[in-house]
Amino acid sequence: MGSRGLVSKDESKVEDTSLTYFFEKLCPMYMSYGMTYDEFWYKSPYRAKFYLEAYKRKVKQQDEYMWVQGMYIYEALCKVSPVLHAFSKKGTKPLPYSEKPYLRDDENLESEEEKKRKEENERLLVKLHFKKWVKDTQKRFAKKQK
Amino acid sequence: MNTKINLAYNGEKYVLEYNRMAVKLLEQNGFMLDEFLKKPMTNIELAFSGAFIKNHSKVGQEKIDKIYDSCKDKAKLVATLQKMIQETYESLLSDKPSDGDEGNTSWEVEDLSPKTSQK
Repeated sequence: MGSRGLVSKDESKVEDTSLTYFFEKLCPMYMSYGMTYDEFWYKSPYRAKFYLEAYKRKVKQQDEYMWVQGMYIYEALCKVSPVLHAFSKKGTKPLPYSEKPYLRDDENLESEEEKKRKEENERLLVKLHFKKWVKDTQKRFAKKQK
Repeated sequence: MNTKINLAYNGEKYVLEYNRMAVKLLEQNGFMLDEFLKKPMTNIELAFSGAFIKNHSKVGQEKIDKIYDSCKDKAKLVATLQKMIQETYESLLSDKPSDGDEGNTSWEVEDLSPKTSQK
């Protein structure tokens, strides 16, 4: 909470709480989180909470993004290192770079369309298996009857 | 939490809540949070009129005073206003995610103005 200090002659400090001071101090910080001036001062005070939450998520996302980028750079360096070696044999080639991005196979990052397609494929596969099983059973049954 | 007071006076509905500008204006008019927390009854009328700034800024002081006089359960009213003012800065401090509308205070005040009996 913000507080203004009133210093008297004997230097003892009397403090009173000023919300205005506190708000004015924090307003630029929240504006840097994407909140507008009007939102901060005139709209529901509760909104600020969500801006703070969103900002934290954004920072986390950025951190993850930078981490993955670092991984790519690290991998690229590792893969090319055989060529960079001072005593490498003639004709040495760099190792192949990853064919696909690291997160391509991450199920959480699959699009809805991809998920639906996968489900549909699985359903068709089950249907085919079932049809085959029915046919085989019918054949066996027919043989027995003969 | 986002506490509001819903009240009805003379058939009109009012939603009382604070924004930061309202609290700033209150302080410009001599409102002091410390004093309000220690001796709420001394600042209650000022705090009550401040709750009209956000949604009903055109309502006159005279009417606000009348509404205040007609309110029942002043102790609960003080506690709610205190909570609402606290929320204006707690929302800037708290790290916890939202807990929805839980705890919203509803304040129902019926038309308490004196009714003249018709003969």
